Amino acid sequence: MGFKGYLARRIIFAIFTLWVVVTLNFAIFMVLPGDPTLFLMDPKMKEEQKVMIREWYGLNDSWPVKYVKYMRNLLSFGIVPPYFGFSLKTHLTVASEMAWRLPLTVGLLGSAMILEILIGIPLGIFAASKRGSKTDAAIMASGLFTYGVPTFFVQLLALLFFIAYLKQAFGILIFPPGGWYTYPRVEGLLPFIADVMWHYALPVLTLVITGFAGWALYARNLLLDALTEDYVLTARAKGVSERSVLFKHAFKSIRPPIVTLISLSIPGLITGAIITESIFGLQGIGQWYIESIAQTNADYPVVEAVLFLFAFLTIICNLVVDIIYGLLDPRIRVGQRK
Amino acid sequence: MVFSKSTRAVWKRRIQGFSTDFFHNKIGIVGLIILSLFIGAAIFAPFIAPFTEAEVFQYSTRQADRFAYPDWIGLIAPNLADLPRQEYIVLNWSTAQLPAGVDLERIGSDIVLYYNASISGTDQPISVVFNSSFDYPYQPMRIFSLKIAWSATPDGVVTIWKRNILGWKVKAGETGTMAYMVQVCLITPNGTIYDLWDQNWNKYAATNYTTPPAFWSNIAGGKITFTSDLANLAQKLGFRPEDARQLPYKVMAEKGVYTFAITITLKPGSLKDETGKILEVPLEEATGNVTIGTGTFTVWGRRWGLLGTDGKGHDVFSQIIYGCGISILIGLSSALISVLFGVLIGVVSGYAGGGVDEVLMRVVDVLLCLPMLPMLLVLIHLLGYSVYWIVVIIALFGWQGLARVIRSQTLSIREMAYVESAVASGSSKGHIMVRHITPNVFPVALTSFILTVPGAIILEAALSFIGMGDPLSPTWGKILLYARLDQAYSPVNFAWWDILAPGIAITTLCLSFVFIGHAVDEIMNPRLRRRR
Repeated sequence: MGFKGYLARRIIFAIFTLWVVVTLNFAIFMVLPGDPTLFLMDPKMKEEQKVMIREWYGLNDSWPVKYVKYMRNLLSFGIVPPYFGFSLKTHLTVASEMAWRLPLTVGLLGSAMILEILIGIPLGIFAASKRGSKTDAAIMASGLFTYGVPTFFVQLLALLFFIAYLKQAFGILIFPPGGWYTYPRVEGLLPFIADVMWHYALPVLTLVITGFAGWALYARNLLLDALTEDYVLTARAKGVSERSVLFKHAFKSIRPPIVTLISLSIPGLITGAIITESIFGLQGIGQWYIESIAQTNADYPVVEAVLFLFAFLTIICNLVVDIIYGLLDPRIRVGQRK
Repeated sequence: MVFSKSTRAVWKRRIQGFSTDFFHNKIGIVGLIILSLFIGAAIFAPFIAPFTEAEVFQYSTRQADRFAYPDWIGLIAPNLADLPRQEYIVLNWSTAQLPAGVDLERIGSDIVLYYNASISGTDQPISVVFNSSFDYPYQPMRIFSLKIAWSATPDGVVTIWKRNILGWKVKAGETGTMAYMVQVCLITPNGTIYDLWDQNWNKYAATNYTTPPAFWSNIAGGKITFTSDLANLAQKLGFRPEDARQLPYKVMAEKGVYTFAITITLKPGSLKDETGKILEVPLEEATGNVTIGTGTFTVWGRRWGLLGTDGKGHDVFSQIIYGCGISILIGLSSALISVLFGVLIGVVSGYAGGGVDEVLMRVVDVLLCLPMLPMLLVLIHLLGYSVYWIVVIIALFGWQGLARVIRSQTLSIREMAYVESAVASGSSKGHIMVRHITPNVFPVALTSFILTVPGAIILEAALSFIGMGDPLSPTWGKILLYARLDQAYSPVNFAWWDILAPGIAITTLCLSFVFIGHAVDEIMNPRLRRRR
């Protein structure tokens, strides 16, 4: 079975997972009690009006019909009517609101993750090469520490220090207090982008601070394991330079597991985004999701669409990572069964 | 389950060996000490916490001013060393002189004034002034409140009845043989007098205050209760309504001896007959008494306790103590559920193999690449914001990684000679899984259990923090949530204690589990032991 077979399997698995998630999502709302039209209905309404409302929202359909409608709605990705439906709160289409919120979340997640990896993995390699030194111990310790520190606590500390303390004690504001752009909006495209980046700096910074040590620790442990392998010994015996051993021999072998970890860390990243957005008041998808769900009458169309989006993003990312894995791992690339 | 003697001996030896190893591990000991401190705090919470759970979580009670600094703030910020503590100053009234016609008797802490107009020989008002002084050597408080109660009893009471439109007899009012007036003022060290209160208090409109005519009360008692942040008080004292929130900064700005003076003015009452004609009470009949209780002047503390107060004036230290138990319990129970689930799925999947294995592992794969928090939020929303559901739901999303590890362990154990001999001697599959495989995956399960706890604690705290937690349980995440909602980190409040305290509590508790887990991991899985 070669790379094509592998690719096909991964794609089928991704589609299958998406289907499971979407169906679970459907089933949860079908099985659990609660009438979504309860707050639309006025007790004074006539019976015909109530029937009309239920008819309008398609609540009188049998469940297979609902399921088909639901799938059709989701799989159109909000591009064609009914655009993921209408928000019960704003009465706008879910898709239109998603369109401007999505880039914010993706920007936050993407930049945080890329920075984490770009800082964490070289640090891990560095620690492994200086094994047993103080640098190594410090990286290990910070890795252990970030395991126990909640990200949102670090973010609150950052807010406390940069927003409250510096402002109160010295009257300076290095980072903006919240939101994703200065209101009123800055003129011009480039200044606006710079402004948005300024607003993103603190959230991304806190995510990176809590995240990079985990990557460093992971890379270090993998690399240390790899350095005990026989082929490293052989390379050293041949007289290959230590630098070359580290990067050409050992590092190459740990790339696949690192890629796996990237795929496993994506769900956690979305968790982080939801909380980060709610702390820093970034109007991204996560904040929207919490606002829609944390109330008695949840905004179900939004909740379902965002849940679908999150699942879809995760699965697509996983698929991409799997493909990269396949390209990196020679056993899959040259078509050898694992 | 009854174990044979040899089994017991084996376990005894194992546990002894484990504890010997554990107590040689410094990180492990540190973790254990921290954890036992937290457990101790959780068990003895009612004895450690200075306030009851209701007192620190109910909206109606509070211990000090909102966002009061910790008591030791003076150590790190000397300019804040003379902030006031929470104080309930009892105003014990004393008077310099009594005019003729008024007798005074002290009954307990109350003062009873007996009025007799025939002795004074005049129908003009007579005033009695009581003073109460106290030393106030602090910076101004942000808010104070004043409480004084009194009762008045004229010796003769006449109820006046009237007929209304329907011809029914209704009570039109009561008049007595004595009329009185109460006024309270505050005298600052430099002699400025602020008229804080008189009986027209409720009649002042917030917008157009002018000195109202004296208002005489005929009967019954009353009380003064107010806090200093009222707009009409500020206006009455000649400030702008916006100044109400900083009123003490204006009124009590200097340190020194402040005096409250309560003035009781007495005069003969007047009777009104049904026709509306006013009949003055004759002097010999104009008698009555007024009882004044001790007043309380509350200085809402801007320094409070070990960890200050939160945005609602609740003691943070007590809240932290009450949060210990629930955090540990949530962490342990959801970790336990998820580990049991992981072991069950892992062992069954690894030992049964075939289709069962395939199905279970695909389920694990699917769950592993799901965004966990959004799903979790939906489930919590639908099942209800109860701490039990939250524990179960956190557990539900935490077992997949362990199941994979246990499965691979099971796969290798399955090939061991002793398992094969057990199969050969006719042991059932269930027996092998329970008696041979499970004990052998125990080290991994134990380590995973301890290392899952901090994740569960943090997740629960995060849920509480974004407002998706159990509203009835006093978790640390909730303290952080309210700190955020009450703007603890705005430059004005800058209530670092309200954020640092719960955050450090969560962090230390989680770190203690990480430390213990690290130590147990080194002992149980010697392959990973640090190479020295």
